[in-house]
Amino acid sequence: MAADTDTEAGGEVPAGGLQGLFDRRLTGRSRTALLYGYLAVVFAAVLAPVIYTLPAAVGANLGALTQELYVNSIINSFALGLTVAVVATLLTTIAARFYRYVRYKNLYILFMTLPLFVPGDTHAVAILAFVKQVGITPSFWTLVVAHVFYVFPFAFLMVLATMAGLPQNIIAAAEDLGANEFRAFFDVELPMVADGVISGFLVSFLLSLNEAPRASVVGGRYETISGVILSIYGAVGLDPTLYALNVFMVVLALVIIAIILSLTVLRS
Amino acid sequence: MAASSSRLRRLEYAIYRAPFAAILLGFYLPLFSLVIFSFWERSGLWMEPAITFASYEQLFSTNAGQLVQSFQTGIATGLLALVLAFPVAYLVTFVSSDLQRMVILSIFAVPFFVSPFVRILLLVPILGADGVVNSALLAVGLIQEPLGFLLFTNLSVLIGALVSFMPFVIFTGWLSMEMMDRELKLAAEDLGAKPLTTIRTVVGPLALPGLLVGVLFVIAAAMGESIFPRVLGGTNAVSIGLMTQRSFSQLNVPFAAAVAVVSVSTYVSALAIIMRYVSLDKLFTAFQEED
Repeated sequence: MAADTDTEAGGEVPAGGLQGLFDRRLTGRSRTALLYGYLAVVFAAVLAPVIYTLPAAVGANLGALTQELYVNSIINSFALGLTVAVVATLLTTIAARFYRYVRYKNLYILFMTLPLFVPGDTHAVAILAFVKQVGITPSFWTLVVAHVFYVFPFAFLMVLATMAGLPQNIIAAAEDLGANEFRAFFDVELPMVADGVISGFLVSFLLSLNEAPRASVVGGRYETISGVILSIYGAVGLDPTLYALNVFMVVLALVIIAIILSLTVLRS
Repeated sequence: MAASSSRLRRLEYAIYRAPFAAILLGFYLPLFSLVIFSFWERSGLWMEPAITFASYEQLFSTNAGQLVQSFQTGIATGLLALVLAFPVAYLVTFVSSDLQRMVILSIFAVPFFVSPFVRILLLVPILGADGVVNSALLAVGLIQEPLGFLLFTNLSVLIGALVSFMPFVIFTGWLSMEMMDRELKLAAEDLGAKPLTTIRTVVGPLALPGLLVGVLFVIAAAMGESIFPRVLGGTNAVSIGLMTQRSFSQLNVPFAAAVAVVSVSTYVSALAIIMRYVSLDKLFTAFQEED
């Protein structure tokens, strides 16, 4: 893997050595093959934990998940994820729509995506310290706020990317023909950016469902799947139920990614 | 007509400002309150208003070593992610077909959307003494006994963060390569520059600022998420996230706040420097202007 990296990344490699080999001895086709070989290695490394789960799925005792504790935490996580996804989709769609009127676009994007650079534990401490200081009890709703602004940059960038691709003259035409801002948005623009909005919704749901550092701190007594996994791991380590929960989460993630992929690839 | 149209205008105005107000109240207000809390005094089970630099003094004296070590680990992770992600970003931008690009990028999205427990807890059986990696190396005969340094060390913390967040650098790398003027690359090639020379002198420098946005995200996450050192680190593992989380659970809120203030303001300053070389609005809408 290290050898691959040196060849590809270049920079420090002296001319005539690896670079000479890369430039002269390899034809265009074998360079492409080398790149794809490297890609396969990176895939294997990045996906190793997911791949490792799948054989375990065969022996996994999914029946164990019917216990009340797990059923409750799964229902809680879904309720949280759906609430977060609805709120985040609404806010990010409006924020992305407003982008075209903003003068300082660079600063606007920084302002909306800054939560990306605030790690989970820091964000969790900020919310918890603040709500406790002003006298709010941590609950489902404080967790919703934490999660909405955790998923916000991701959903915002997805919707923004779709809207940036719209031909501006169509919306201008709708407005010229007398449609107000709302009609122009709902009748003309929304149908064209629906894929981006739905993808943003699904991504928000999935990110909230899988989130751990905030969920285990900010929610008070609201128990999510992540909280349950963490307490099982703390008590008994990697036990079979944990594998079953992991399999469930992986399969769910793969299904949702497949939906997003079919929404985006099949249309384009 | 005029009245209803001005009412509509007001509604429009209110709706467009709603996300701004929401993020200000829900995100920035709690975040900035940490600046104030970091100057407060710890008292009993909570804290009380004061103006003291005690938390910062503790951070830069007693905990200075941990702070430096955490930044070192974070920067090492970020630079490694940059080197590893660059070829993949180059591949999806300049070599793959449109369909291949979508499939490759979607596969890289998988680890990000999978539970952190799958990503991180399952690295324990993969990297452990009788884990997948060691068994494979033993079977091939490359090693005679299991490599102990693969798990519960700084290396395994670094691997965990890389596996989790490196794909983000691939995305920003792809976006920044899409954003650059392809004619420049073609011109270099037409003038006889060899592929690696083109990468080193044209593609690399032009794509670097955008790539660094992704690298900064990796550095912040690698330093700030306490789950990596908690699950994969040894007993003496240190990180910003661990410091924040531990001091908060020991009810030293002002100190946790000071750690957060120092780390987040460092990330934001670095981002401000990067933004002098790449505009975020062009970066994040880059691939649309292509079609």
